[in-house]
Amino acid sequence: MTARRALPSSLAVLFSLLLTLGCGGPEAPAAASDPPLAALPSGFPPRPEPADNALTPARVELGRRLFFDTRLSRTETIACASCHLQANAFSDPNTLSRGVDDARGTRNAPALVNEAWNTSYFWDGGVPTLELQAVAPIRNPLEMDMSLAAVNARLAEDPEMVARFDAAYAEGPSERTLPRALASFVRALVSGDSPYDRFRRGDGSALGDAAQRGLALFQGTRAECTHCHVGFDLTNNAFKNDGTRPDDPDPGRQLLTGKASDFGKFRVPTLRNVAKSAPYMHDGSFATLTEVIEHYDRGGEGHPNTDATLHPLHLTALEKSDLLAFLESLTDEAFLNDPRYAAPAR
Amino acid sequence: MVRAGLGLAFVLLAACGSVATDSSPGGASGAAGTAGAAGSAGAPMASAGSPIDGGGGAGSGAGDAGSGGIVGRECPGATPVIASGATGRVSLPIEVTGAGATLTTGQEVRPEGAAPYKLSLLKFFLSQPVLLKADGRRVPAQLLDGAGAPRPYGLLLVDLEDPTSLSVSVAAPAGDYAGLELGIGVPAPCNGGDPTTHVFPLNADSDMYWTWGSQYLFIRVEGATQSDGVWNTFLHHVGFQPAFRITQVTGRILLDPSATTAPSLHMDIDRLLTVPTPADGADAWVADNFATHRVLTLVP
Repeated sequence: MTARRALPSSLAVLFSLLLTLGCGGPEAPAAASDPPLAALPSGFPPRPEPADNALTPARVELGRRLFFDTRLSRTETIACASCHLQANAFSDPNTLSRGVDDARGTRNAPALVNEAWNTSYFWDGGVPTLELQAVAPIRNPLEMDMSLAAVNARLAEDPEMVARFDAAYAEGPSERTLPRALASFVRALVSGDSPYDRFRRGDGSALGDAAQRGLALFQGTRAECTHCHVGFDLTNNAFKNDGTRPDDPDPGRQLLTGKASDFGKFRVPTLRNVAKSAPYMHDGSFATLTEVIEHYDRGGEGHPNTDATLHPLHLTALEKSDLLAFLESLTDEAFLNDPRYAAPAR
Repeated sequence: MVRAGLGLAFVLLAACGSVATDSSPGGASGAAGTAGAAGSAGAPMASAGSPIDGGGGAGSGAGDAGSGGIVGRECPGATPVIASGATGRVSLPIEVTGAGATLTTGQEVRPEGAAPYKLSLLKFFLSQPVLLKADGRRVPAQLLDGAGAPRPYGLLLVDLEDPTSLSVSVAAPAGDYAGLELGIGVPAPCNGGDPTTHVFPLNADSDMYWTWGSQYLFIRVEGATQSDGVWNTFLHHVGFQPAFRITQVTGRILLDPSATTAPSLHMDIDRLLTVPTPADGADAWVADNFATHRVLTLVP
């Protein structure tokens, strides 16, 4: 609503060039030194970008630095990366994440994989964009417990960060730029180079026999996983109750919609890198993929709003191990080790 | 625009000792809502939907008292302008009371026949003022700040701890009026959008912004009630469009340069916290009380 506008990008480039040339300004990073955006994996649809936050290398690099910056939390101890670890596909190996003063949330921190294509965020889908998602953990008293203004006041005292903001947005740290930069980094986290992907692109040797049998089970009428885990990102972005325990106190999406039909429903997540993102489910109640497979084989635990597609599968031990082999083939080592997504050198 | 599906009123009730947070869904007792008819019960005069008097551009179509406020009206934006012809001004001080006396945060209130209580926080949005003529005509007005400028987004965020917010100042065509209608909450066209580009009170740092729902709370009432000598904390957070309510107050309001005094708006917290039917923790009863239980009255 306010008439804030980014400078034309040519001006921004010029500005960052001037900074690079060191016109008395702080030691500023050259736009050219920011890692270029990775090409999308073949077979991926175009990456959605908001009109007012086009993805640029400068924004992604700024976002990366913020993502690993503990100044975002009141106690200066918690960064986004504290609960979203690259080695764990940017999820948290803890069942419940720890915020400032060791506070605990109520749900398991999700993996951050191919978030650009998601149509809503959080387990219950209450947030429509990555930019608005970025606001929530900063302000949540159980996570970072800061106002955006307080974060920006800290960042404003750091000449290098101010220069990076200026280069990326032609504006310093602000309520507008802070969430946009964080969203840019998360939007750049793309995983599409797993053995499963290489197999789909024609490399028949990328999947072993067990994983290939598991893939057939996954897609076939026997296990029916593709009711929900479908498409290039293995999610339909829908809200389902996947047979959680009957005494699960979390009302899920009903919290937002008030509809009884949404009781206990949560967003279907991608399965990419799932072998690295334990523990599982919205509450982190399963520690291993084997437990998850047993859960679906049982047809769930009996939640009253269990999705109609769940039912006992009576899988054999071999089928279970085949499914596990397939799920493990979704691990993208390049993504988990990509230096562009790692903590910046200080 | 509000996304479909983000529907109903939501009241958070927390028991003693629970963590108060407006950002985490943990500990919520449930969600539900009483969608639809807003503030019609006991409406003292012109029912919502009566003919609208000109009133310039302050807002046409101000007749839909259904959920979400006025359908079709755009959000006034951060810098609204005063409608032409709105030459009259009036300022109605808000006096918040408990057990018949002025109430401040932290103060213990002992209402007759009800449990003692105290408030730690009271904030709510007022919006879409409409002045009511004795013959039932409705004249849209605009909310002003202390300097006489139109309030951003047409919203007044009342905060018990902010004296500058404790006054309903409006601009409207000069005249002699018999009542005032107010929206309680953020009308649908302003609820949502991008808070990172909004100014106060709809900015992303606003403690009325519900980060995990990407909308604004309409009412926050937090405090404690006493039972058997023990103080039990509560927080009532009301939001989502079906919880939008409209209330009316009656009494003479003169918008005339010759007017030297104005009535005041009394807000009775005893009535706000009175639960008319046993609350199950899943109802927008706070908003209903606000709209229909004469929480607001006009005192000459």
